[in-house]
Amino acid sequence: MAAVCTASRVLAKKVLSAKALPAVSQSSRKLHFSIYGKNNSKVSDGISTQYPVVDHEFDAVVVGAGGAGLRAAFGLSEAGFNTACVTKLFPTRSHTVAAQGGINAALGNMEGDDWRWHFYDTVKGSDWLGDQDAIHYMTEQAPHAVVELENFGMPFSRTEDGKIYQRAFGGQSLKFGKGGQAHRCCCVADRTGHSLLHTLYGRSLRYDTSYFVEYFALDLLMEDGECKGVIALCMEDGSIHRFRSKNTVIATGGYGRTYFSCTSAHTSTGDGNAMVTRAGLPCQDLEFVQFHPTGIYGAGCLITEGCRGEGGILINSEGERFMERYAPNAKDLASRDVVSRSITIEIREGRGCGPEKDHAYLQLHHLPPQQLATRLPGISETAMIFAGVDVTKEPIPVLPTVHYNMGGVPTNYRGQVITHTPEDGDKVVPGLFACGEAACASVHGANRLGANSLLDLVVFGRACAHTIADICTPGEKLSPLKPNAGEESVANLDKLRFADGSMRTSEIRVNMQKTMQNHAAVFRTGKVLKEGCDKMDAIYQTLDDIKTFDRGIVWNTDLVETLELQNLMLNAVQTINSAEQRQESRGAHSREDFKDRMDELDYAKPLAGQVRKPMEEHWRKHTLSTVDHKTGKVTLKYRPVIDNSLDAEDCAAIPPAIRSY
Amino acid sequence: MSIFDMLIQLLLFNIHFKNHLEEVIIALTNIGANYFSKLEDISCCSHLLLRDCLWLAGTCVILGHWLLSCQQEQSHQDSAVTRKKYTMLSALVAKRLVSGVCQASWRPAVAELMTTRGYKGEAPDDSRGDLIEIPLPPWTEKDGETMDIKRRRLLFQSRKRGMLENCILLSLFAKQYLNTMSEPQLRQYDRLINEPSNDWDIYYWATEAQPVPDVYTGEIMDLLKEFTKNRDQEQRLDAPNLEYLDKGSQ
Repeated sequence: MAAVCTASRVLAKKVLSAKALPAVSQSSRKLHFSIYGKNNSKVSDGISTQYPVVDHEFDAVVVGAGGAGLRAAFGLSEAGFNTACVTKLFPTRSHTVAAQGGINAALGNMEGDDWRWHFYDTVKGSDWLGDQDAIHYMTEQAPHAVVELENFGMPFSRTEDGKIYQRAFGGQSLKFGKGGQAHRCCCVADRTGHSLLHTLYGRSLRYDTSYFVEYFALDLLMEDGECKGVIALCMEDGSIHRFRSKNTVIATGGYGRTYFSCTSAHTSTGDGNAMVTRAGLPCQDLEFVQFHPTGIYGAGCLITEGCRGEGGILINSEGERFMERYAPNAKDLASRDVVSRSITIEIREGRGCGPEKDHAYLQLHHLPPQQLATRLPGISETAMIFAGVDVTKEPIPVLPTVHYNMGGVPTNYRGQVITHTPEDGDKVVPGLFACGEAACASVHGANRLGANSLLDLVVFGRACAHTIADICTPGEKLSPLKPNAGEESVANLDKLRFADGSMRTSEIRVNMQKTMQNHAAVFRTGKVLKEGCDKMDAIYQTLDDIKTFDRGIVWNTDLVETLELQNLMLNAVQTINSAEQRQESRGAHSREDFKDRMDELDYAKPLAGQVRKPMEEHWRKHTLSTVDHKTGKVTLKYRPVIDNSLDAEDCAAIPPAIRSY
Repeated sequence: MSIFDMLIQLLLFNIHFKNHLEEVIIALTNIGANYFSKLEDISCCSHLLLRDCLWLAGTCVILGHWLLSCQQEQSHQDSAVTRKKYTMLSALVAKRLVSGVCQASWRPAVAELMTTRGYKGEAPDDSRGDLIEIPLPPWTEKDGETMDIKRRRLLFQSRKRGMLENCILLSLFAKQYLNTMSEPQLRQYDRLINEPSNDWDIYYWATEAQPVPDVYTGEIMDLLKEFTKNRDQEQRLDAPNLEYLDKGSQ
């Protein structure tokens, strides 16, 4: 069956003529316009006569070409689906390339290991906000995923006897936390992210995936609650493209750029979350923003956790290894939120380093220079350029910096996007999937463990591909779409292109970033958050008064950055409003006025005789936020955490407990 | 190669025991085949290990045949029987080794290709197997683009990079130099920021942490290296906003 489809596809390609596009020089990028369709891609006038719209038809469309997007696209193409991958960046330039840490998997090469211990670590790391069925799926699939990647060609670093080298990473333990530090992070020297992208991109090309590179996805095409595709802007010639498909996978990454100081590239603008919000669907747990303990003070560039895994330590102004006090067992390799909070407390109590006593030091010069050069070469350059420090002699000034977004588009463990009502529970949105940082499965819950993110990408990218392969067959006929679907997006684009208000894009952006940085940082208080919510609301309204200066349509960076700003604003308002409402401290969300976790039972005391609180009275639940994108008003609802694993006999669920390292 | 040395010793020892020769040869081929099936278990893709295994297997076969021919010379009466045994044994050897090879994840032992998307770094841990064995389609220059459009494209591509370090560095560099670059300079810059597959490489070359490959050396690379040194000690905390391009405000 698949062979017949492949044959017909090959034939169809030969029949298609090049489509008519206005004033475009003959494109030499063969990859970009691999047009496929039972109907020829056609230029339609349904939306606007000024913006020629080209329609494409595919079996599956993936938005985003990072680790998760490429894995999904590769899996789908391998399964015979005609897949398009729409991305605003060249695949090997996605933010995944920055990942230097590695992938966690219980292979057991350095010491005896069991994926159930990894399951326990992840559930505990999520502060019991993670859905245990999704975590079960991820940790059980981890060793298979790593071996699979190796078969695809990723050259993992090896030990002397030829097994995959695994290093220690924060929050990983043996024997359900009782057996000491576990070594389960597999890496490809220091370029794990790049190797992942290169391998997956290269292999997916052999299966004939169509890549639409430097196309900015504007919105989802929704009809009757079903997702029927994506509409995107081609940056090269300013044309609009509608990608019609029965299956759309969102893999657009996180939204670190809502904050003034973050470790993310300028491409992390939460485009997928915003597309889902504008479609009227909820986003989950956006208040949980991870602050990486060691971002360079000032620029925010990341110093990977792998440094601490290889022996680096954090010290305060007195030269004390202060993590020993906050996490006696794990010390510097405690979970990230614990380390971030510890650094912030040290600074607030006056033991910060530097002239303003406002950061901590990461010491690496006690490690052998050979080890630094081979296992962590990038660190020396980054420290020298952005902090002026020689790592073999001096410590690096570091500060907790926004690094990862645990929240995102809510999905089940199979990668399908869900909505929730108290009466009916979780309901799948047909045709829509999400994976990677953009999704919230939720495996990371309230806090993500290091090296679990790359694992999340490959496991759930693959899960989306498998689920689509289970539900659909390649070559299925598409349901009809209204001829003017997507016209709102084009109208918005046009409005921004000719916007002539009084506030520039960069001004509004800086206002938003500073507000988020000052009001929704590591430690949050009710009053400061409320002030922040009001300020954010005011800033949201200034979007109507925006001013852009570039009126062109070809390679208009100003327009793209303005679209990204719109997306960031939607993420920012949801983040700060959800944080203001959540009156407890859990994982990465720390409230100074509500220092404890509020679960349905008090797990610090013996459970016998306690009465289970109803969902309205405790906080062990997911936040679902929606925004009316015209007014900026945020509505919050809640959804219970999934506490049972996929197979109770194979892997018992972990009941909540007090979280200490 | 210590296993190999061991086997040589065993073989030389056993040559005296001509009666057991067949068993020795069968044992050798079994070891060779086991080595290959182990390849499948650990799914190793390091071509060094594969090379060793091929060597070992090949040597087993050669030795086996040599020993059999020695035996054959020595016993002329049973030449017919011996020939039959010889062919059966060869068939057995060939079958075990070929099936072992087919089971293992076969990768063509490619000579060290210097693709334009990869170059030798210093990390011994990194075999760069993915870059050698999964070459991406080569980068080609865009034809028919006006200089103005090229500048606009390169501006977007300078500001949107894979990691923050490059975002900051290249957008500041673009702010300073992009609008005054000549056409050959623009082409050099285009190649520099778009051809390398790993964004980190551009960063290592700019910071002189690693040597620049010959294809990228030139005026623009020198400008970038000098710019990175930041002799004026200006603060480089973030990428600049775009307003410097707004002619209306100037």
